[in-house]
Amino acid sequence: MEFHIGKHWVVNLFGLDVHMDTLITLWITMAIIIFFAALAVGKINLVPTKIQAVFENIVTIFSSLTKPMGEEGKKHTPILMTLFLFIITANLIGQLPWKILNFFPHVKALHGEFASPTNDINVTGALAIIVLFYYIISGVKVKGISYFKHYFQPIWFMTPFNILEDFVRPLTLALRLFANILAGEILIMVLGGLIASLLSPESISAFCQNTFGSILPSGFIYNLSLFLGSLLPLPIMFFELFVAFVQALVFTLLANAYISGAVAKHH
Amino acid sequence: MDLSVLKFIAMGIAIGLGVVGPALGLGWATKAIIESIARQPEVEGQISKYFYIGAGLIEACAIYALLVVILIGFVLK
Repeated sequence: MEFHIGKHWVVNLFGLDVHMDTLITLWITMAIIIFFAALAVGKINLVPTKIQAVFENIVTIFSSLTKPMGEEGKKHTPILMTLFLFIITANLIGQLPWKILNFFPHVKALHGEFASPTNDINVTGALAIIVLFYYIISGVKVKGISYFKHYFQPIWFMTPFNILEDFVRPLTLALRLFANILAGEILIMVLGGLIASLLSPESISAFCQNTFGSILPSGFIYNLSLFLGSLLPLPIMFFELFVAFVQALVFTLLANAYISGAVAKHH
Repeated sequence: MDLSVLKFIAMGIAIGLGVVGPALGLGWATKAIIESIARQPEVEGQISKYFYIGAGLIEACAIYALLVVILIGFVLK
């Protein structure tokens, strides 16, 4: 079974290796979000239209998320909402039938794999580093230089662990999102190719000769079993829709927890 | 023994042992949420969202094992 993981269509742009397939799906994600955002804020009515009501609900949910931080926490709502909407759109975009592109020989020759952009560790790593810098900077903004005092709490010899925490947090954020999406892609790929790799026309024709005699044409049975085998990843695909939502939620809630930990007054 | 055979053994052991802990954790989390919903059916809407988040965090541990398996099998030479 042919099966490649983490291969990307690498293009050299200005001396940098760019994963072109990730970049394309990333731009599609951004285009979707910007399109809907423009649609939502284009014409604001007092009596909300349907799409405006949907977006007002989303904003309400995220402003209730930062409510425990108090009045100051309101300004952290936009980044959390951006993270959530970006990650869930990026995760869900991978469930589109990108594999159809492999039927075109010159797309297949690129060795790229069009999937969700969060399938690439560079994207999730960038998101995690954004969260790291955001919570450190907002902590410094609120508490000034005394923000760095929390490294020496509760006692001085915990300092290495407190510093290590700032490395572990973005690492786990990035790896969790990346690995969950990648595992889903691999599972769908393996299950989709399983029947086609196990069956061969010869074995099916031998099976038909033994069981049915020559009542049914073996080519028909072979194509039917290939079709039924291609339905095998369907339940996993439904599960992936759920995983896409849960991982976006987990990323957002952890970012929220880190930010509210950094700006908390008594620490 | 051939190195590629050892690689397959390592992949099998890594995913097999790595999944035990998350499986126990998910089992306990599911048990706890079912018990609490059975005791107080009206809290289902409030606590099930914490269950989904927790399940996502627990599942990530199993995914780390899978990541190590992929590293052993396909990335590291």
